[in-house]
Amino acid sequence: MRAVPAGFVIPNFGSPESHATTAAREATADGAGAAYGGPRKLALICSKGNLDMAYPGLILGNAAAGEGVEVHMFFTFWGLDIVNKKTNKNLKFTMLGNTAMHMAELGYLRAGLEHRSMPQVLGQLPGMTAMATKMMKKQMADLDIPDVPEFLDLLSAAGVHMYACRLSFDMMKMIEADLHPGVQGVISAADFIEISANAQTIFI
Amino acid sequence: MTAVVILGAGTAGTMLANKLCAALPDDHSVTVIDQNDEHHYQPGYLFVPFGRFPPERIARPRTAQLHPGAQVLIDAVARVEPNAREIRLASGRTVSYDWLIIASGTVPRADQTPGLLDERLWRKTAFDFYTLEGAVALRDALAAFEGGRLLVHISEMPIKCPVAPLEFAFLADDYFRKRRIRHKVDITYVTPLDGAFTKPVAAATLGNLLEDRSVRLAADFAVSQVDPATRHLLAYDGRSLGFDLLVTVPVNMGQQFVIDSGLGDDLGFVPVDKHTLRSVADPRIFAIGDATNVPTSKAGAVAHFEVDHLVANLQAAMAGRPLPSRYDGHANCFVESGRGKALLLDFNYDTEPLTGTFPAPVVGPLTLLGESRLNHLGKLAFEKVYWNALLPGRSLPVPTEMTMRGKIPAGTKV
Amino acid sequence: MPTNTIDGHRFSVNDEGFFTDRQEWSEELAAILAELVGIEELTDDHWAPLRFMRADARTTGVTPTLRRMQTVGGFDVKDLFALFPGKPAKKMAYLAGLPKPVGCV
Repeated sequence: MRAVPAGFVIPNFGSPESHATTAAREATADGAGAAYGGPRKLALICSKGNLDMAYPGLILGNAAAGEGVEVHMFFTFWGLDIVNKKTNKNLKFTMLGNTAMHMAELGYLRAGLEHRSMPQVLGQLPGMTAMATKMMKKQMADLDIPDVPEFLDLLSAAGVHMYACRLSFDMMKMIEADLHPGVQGVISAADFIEISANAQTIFI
Repeated sequence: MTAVVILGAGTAGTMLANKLCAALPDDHSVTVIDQNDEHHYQPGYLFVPFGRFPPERIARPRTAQLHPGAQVLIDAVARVEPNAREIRLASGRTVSYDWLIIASGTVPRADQTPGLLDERLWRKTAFDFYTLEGAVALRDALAAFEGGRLLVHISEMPIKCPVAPLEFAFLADDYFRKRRIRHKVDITYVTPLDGAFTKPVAAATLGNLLEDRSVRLAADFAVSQVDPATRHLLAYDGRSLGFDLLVTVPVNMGQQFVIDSGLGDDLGFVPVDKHTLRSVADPRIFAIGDATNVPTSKAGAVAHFEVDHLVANLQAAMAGRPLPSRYDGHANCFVESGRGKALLLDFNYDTEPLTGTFPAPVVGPLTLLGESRLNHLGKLAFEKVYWNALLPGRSLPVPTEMTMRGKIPAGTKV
Repeated sequence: MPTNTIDGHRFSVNDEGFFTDRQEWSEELAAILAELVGIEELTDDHWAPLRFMRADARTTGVTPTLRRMQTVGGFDVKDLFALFPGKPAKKMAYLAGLPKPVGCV
């Protein structure tokens, strides 16, 4: 590797040792003693199955992978619906329980309406969940954000490690063949704690 | 007396014997030779492991299916001597022929895959359902199976009834669901083909069905051996698949006597002209059914469609005339897809299975290359048709030659 | 705005180090910059995505994201991570003389 000349302004691409590789790394067994010298690690725990809460994990995971971070994603409880091929095309979004749901388009009717939350009682009307889901999917598509199955393909190709949680998997009597091929295995919580050693962990 | 000898009293041999007895004049004798007197309804083998058919329902005496005018010899064939026009039997007896038809079918040869017959595996964790014995043993193993990796495997093509392993996978999905342990069983369909079926349109449909039933697909898997110690299926390219229960279709070969007589190709099937069914080695020898090398599926339907052509060609050969009748490779196949449904495939040498309706356009009533309950009922009803109409040689309301009527050509935008 | 000089080539960059004028780029310069970021030699497999990026950016006006490289360019994201390890989107944009890509995907 050629040395950067003095005074040369170059973007920071990190050093080669600090990059995540697609090969899974051995978990460092000892805790406090050894100083960690590997790439930055990010652990994402995805526990929700609503469409709006599936995306944060996927987007963060993808962004981190693109920055050379070693990413490990653990799908548990309702998050399993994100990696289950039989359900992940049909994730839904409901405004129920989400008091922060706003509609930007209402601002065209009257200024200020775009900041007002939708009344919760609306969410119980038949068809509201389907409508809200459709709206959200359209918003995502307009921003060129892929749907969940395609996003998983992208993450897998980018080297993100994905796992399903053993306990909730067994609870729901899921079938392993239904998992997205990018999911490396069904592992226990203890396994994930080991894998995510020295990682920043985010619980979604 | 012109002696016509048929080797094999299975589906093809029985239909042929019955038709010849009706068609040939009295100065012709029809002799049928088979090594045992049990005629099996082979489509039933699929249902035995799941307890859907009792074994008793499968077998009936061969002699009872044959025209009273046919002479039946229960004896194994040791060799065919084409130059002497003689058949040497296992008992030592010889039978002379003027015209010979080989209808001896295929044999599952588990011995062709190293390790498969190891006593630690065979009929303990590795089974086949291409024999009645195997299907019954598998039934007991499945009943005792509480979970783990199940492989549904094809050793090598061609096999008879190429869709049977797919059907097995679909029915296994049903079976374990009924027992409420489907989530404990990991099912993989392992095939040397590059997809679920040989032809592209059907491969896509059947591949999707596998995915829908949560069955994994391991394609391009050319098995080299089975490791009895670790219970792994090994491929030539280095891949290996572990299993707790292996259901395999062993290599299918022609009968040993065909090989020993020098009449078979490297798998023991008789090379014939694919349209006239006459042997390329000897003009007095014809072959029909699974025993031939014709490039279409090995299936009962094929034997059924071949029979009329063979009868006409045999009669022409006897009269010294050119052989008029050309078999077009027509085959059809019910594919049991589980959940009370089945698909129907209809194809020939030139045309792959297509979507549409069968046998009539639009009204059908059977759906081609699509799941329907009526197809499933059709498959079940077929058992009665087999014993009562097909074997005796009665005509069925299904055209011998494949027709495009009712079919949607490949590539048509729907 | 800082200006970099190397081996006789001059090009302006923003504070982060990315090209501000895509016209100042050349394939010869790209090969030199590749050495600086740890890619010893640009093979045809490296050039294909870089050329696609320049062409696509001219059409759309923005640097394509990794996903666009796959859906429109036909490249496999896995290959791109192998060819430009660590921060592939940024590295490719830099070596193509384009601004850093924006967008979350």
